[in-house]
Amino acid sequence: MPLIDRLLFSDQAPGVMKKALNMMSTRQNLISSNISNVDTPGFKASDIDFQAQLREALGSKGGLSLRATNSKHFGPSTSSIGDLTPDPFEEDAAAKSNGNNVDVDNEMAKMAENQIMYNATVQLMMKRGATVRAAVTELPQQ
Amino acid sequence: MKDITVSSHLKGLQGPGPSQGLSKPSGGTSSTDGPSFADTLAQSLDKVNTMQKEADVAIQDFVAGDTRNIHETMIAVGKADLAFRLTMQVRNKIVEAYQEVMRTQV
Repeated sequence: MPLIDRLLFSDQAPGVMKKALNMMSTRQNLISSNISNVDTPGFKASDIDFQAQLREALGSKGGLSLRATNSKHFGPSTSSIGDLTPDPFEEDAAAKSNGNNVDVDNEMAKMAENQIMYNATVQLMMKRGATVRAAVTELPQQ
Repeated sequence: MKDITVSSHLKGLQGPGPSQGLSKPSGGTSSTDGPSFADTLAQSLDKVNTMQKEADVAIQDFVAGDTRNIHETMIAVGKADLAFRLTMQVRNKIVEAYQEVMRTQV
């Protein structure tokens, strides 16, 4: 069902949501790995900034965006959101005496924020899906 | 979601208008005052479409971190959803009324 797929998963907004959910799930794994390695000597905490990647892919506000109108065009394209991959970087916090730079409080705060964002995005996706579902089934609720 | 050219389809609904033989009720206000029903309907449909586009923009802004407002995003999406459902019910009523008229024995 290409139409339903486009409405729910591959249009601009749902595509961004899907990618963001993937990124947030990866980020949750990274954060929990950081917390697990709080006592590992020489371990460096890592993180991803998926929102910056998404902003870049969506094009900054007011900027000009390039559009590929031919299959031979190359450069930034609107479909690049689907091609985004997590880009982990090491945090530059000061290391402790054993070379480990995990800050548990910081990691917990990031985890809480990530969780709220994830839940909110899932809810937004469901709300958006409910509209399409209403159009299909014409049920007053859900 | 793609824009649908509602206005062009609604123009067909208006038809040629009442036939010349029917005289308008005298003394009443002219029916050309104000926007027609079809125009009002087309405007509301446009509004619903705009709301859905705004909700999509709000979602993208939220997910990309341009705004930290969860509530405003949720409100925008909820508003678009409710407006769409209302439109759908109005459509149902209109179709029902049309069918009722078509069933009427003359």
